[in-house]
This record gives sequence, structure tokens and C-alpha cells, in this order.
Amino acid sequence: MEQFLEKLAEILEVDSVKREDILTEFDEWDSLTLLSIIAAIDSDFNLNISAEQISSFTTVGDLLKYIDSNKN
Amino acid sequence: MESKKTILITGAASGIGRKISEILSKEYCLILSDRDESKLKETLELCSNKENHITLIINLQELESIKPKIESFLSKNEISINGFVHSAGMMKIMKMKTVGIKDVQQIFSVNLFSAIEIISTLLKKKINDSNLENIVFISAILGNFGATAHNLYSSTKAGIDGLMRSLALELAPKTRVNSVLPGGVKTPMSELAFSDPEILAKAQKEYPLGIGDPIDIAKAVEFLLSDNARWVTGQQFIVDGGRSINLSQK
Repeated sequence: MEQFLEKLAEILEVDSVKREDILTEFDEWDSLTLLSIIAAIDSDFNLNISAEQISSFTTVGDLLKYIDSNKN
Repeated sequence: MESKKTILITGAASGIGRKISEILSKEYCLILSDRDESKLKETLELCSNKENHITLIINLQELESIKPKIESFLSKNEISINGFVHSAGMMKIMKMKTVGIKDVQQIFSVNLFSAIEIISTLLKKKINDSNLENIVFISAILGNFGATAHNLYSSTKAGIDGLMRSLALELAPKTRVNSVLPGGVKTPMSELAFSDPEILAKAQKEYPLGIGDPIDIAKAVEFLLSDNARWVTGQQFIVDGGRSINLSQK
């Protein structure tokens, strides 16, 4: 999961991300970022997640929790 | 199988490949191929003349397994393949700096390298008895144009169309080779993105005829495989609801 957090930070153009960070408050948060996160989750966890699902999460922690309970 | 022509379809378990299978099942004997056995069975249930079709489970990411699997499959079933439709495709929208070698290998294997391996196999006289007459690739308008973060996907589609043109020359006059280039079509693959209302609204605005349906692509494939297209080879058949010619101000 550490590796994924590093990738998430790369996508969001920040040095690091914390579980309590609010997704929509990142400067880079837009539809392209959202699609990049879908691809990263597919690559790292073999898990298909929709843009709609990601949009329903508030924090980075919510996203991680979803991945943890659904990854293959 | 009766003496209708036999078509191999990759990616037949869902989306465009499934719809192509449904449409072609009326006129052809089909070899429905995918890695997902249970979804492939669902596709078979949707086909006409079910007794004419068989399934072939292949994981296109395992390139070295393709030739031996096809060879033993054709020999065991005592059939040869007249047409090949490469509909299997993988799309990952990712910023270039997050692209890893695993992503490159996956996407290039499924979208491009597997097609090369399949065609090379089907052209061998000992394996397919020189029976390959028609190849249709499901490419994408993204191979001709650009879109942010579609780096790998666009590369593979440009690659498949380069392959298409060269093969059209190499294999003429016996085998015709063409591509269908869809724009945005509602499939399980695109649904991951279109489920976001903002992305869907933007896309709908860009398509003069709206977002497409898999049947729009399947009908184009049906035409290219038929004798109605007997003088058509080496072509990109764009089926995109007018998206690629739309320079209107947004």
C-alpha cells in the first residue's frame, strides 16, 4: 500500500499523501486525475473501480479502505 | 460445424467483441475467444445457431501460449479459420510518469502483440491450411489523434493500423486486412469512465451523433468481412459518430 500511496502522490503532483487528505481539495483533482487513479488501482491491485465510486469517497483513507476490502 | 466460413473473435466475452459475436453468429461458424470462461459462455448464449460455435480460452497476456493453444485447438476440432477479428483490448488512462513496464507489457500484449502472434500462426500452412481470407482489427480513432494520458493505448492502436496496412499488401490478393476505428462506445471498459456525470456530459457534447453502441461497430465489422467489401483492403473504417471531424467551438 505504501507503493500505491507514492503513486497517488505522483498522480496528484504532491510530495506525499495522508489518509486524512480530502480528495477534492488537491489542486490536481479533475476528471483526468480520477481516470489515472482508476488505472493505477487496476495495475496495482487488479481491481476495477468506476469513476462514480471514486467520486463517492471523501478522503484518501476512504479510497484505501475500499481497495483493502475489495482487492483480489 | 457445418460448412459456413469460420471466424475467430478475440475479446468475445464482453463489450464490442460480444456484440460482434452476436451479429456474426447468424452467418458464420464462430470461435469465441477470451480469458474469461464464464462470460464467454454468456456470449455463446446470446448467439444465434449456438451449435455452430465453440469457445477457446486464451489469456492474450501469455504470448508464448498462443501458438500452441491455437495449433492444438484447430487440430483437435479438425477445422481451419477463414477470418480473424481482433477485438480484445485493454485501456488504461494514466499520466506518463506513472506508467510502469508491467502496464506496457499488459496493454501491448493484449492490444497488439497477441494479434501478431495469432496471425503469424494462422498463416502457417501446416496449422491453418492457407485458409485465412479476412482480418479485421478493432482499432480506435485515438490511434490517429491524441488524448491526454492515453499514451499506451494510442500507441498500440497506431501500431495495429501500421500492421494492418503492411499486412494488406503482404497478404493480397488472398487475404483482405482492414481496421474499424470506433470512437467512444458504451462498454464495460468505457463504463468505468462514463459513470462520472462530468466525463459523460463532456463526451456527449463532442459527439455529433452521441456516444456509440457496440452494435454500430459490429455492423461495420460484418460489412468488412462480407463480399460487399471485396475491393476494400488496407483501410481504416472510422465509425465514431462524427467525433474525429468535430472542430466546433465548445
